[in-house]
Amino acid sequence: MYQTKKTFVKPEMKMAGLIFENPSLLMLLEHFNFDLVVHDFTVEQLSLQHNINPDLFILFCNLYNGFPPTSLGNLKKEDVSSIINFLRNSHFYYRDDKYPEIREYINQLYEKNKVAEIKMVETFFNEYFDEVTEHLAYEDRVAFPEICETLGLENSDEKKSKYTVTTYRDHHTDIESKLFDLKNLLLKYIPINDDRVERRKLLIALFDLEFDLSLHSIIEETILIPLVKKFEKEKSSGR
Amino acid sequence: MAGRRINIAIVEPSQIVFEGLSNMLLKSGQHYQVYKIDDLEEVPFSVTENDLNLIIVNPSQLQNRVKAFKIIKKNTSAQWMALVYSFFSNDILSLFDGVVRVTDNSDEIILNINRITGADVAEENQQQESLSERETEVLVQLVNGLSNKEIADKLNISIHTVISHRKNISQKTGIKSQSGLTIYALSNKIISMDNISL
Repeated sequence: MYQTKKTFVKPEMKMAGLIFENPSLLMLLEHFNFDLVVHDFTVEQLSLQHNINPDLFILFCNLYNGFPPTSLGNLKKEDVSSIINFLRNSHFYYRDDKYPEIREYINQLYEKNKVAEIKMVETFFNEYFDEVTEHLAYEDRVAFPEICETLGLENSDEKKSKYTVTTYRDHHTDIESKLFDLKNLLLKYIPINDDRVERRKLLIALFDLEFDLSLHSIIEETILIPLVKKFEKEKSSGR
Repeated sequence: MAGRRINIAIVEPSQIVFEGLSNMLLKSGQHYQVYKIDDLEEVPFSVTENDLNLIIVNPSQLQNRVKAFKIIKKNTSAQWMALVYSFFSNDILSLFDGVVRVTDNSDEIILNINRITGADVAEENQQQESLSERETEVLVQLVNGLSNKEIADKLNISIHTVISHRKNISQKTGIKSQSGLTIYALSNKIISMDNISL
């Protein structure tokens, strides 16, 4: 999003340097629960210090830098826990950080431009976010605990069920297309009325949310699900 | 997203040429994603992994491997362009769907790429934005909460026609959801506040 240069991340690169090039990596650190003061550490040092597999950390850094994963390399079963923690932390960011911020901007926009369309944008966004929340809650309460249980990882729930990752994928609905509608309406159709600053704030917040959500689903669909499938298969073939 | 993304792989041994072309493509403002491939033989793996639409190859890669090239090309759905900055015979160049010359300027290259990958067709469709009279009628009924069947009955058209109108409406406005379309209709004065309940 604010990326000026596309750098393919390697273990010996300094984290701070990468953040200067692509500030959205700050979001990545937050989702991994790292401190934002990264000193002079390399990517590899930083991940080892936080007990995260450097291969996984670098894979995610590259994703944030615009390189979708091309292979899962030799990620281990334990990495699934790290991925789930990462996703849980991003849920927190969507729900408790971005959502209130966007609502606040919609209110500010309405204060400046009191037309029915903006009231409807509010309703639209709330409906949309209800869907998102429902999906996130499903992941937090059902999908993640069950993945952990299936793979025999910590962090599991008590209940037993005939769960496979396919169930999860079926439930995994696309929650981004409505955001696109919203941006389109704000950029193309809803008449402006002295609300340039408020509209810009709202749009940028929507872009932020969309950027992180899109990486979120890439992580689920191209990293988490294939990985869990792989380990499920290994387990059922008795390895 | 606006505009279909075109995934492009460049098979070019020279770092300078690769960087130059890749920078030009990435800065063009087109929805391009660029991948670097070192050797022709790696193309088949990359095609499935990255869903490539276009592969730009330095024809020197074909030296003694024309047969292999033909097989790889036959087995991919992507389009192929030659990246030419030295002399190659027409026999070689005619194996490709198009040519990028090192003397071409950025506009020419993009025009060619979009023509070969069919991206220009998609773009033209997007530019045509205003709704037809019939589409507007369908939109109004849609916003009023009528189902496809009800709209078909009311306007005396088939369900298929309703569905195709709906598809066009979403394509032209860029808006898919019903609540989104309601806001669109209001902003464009297709409906007024009296027509809707908040």
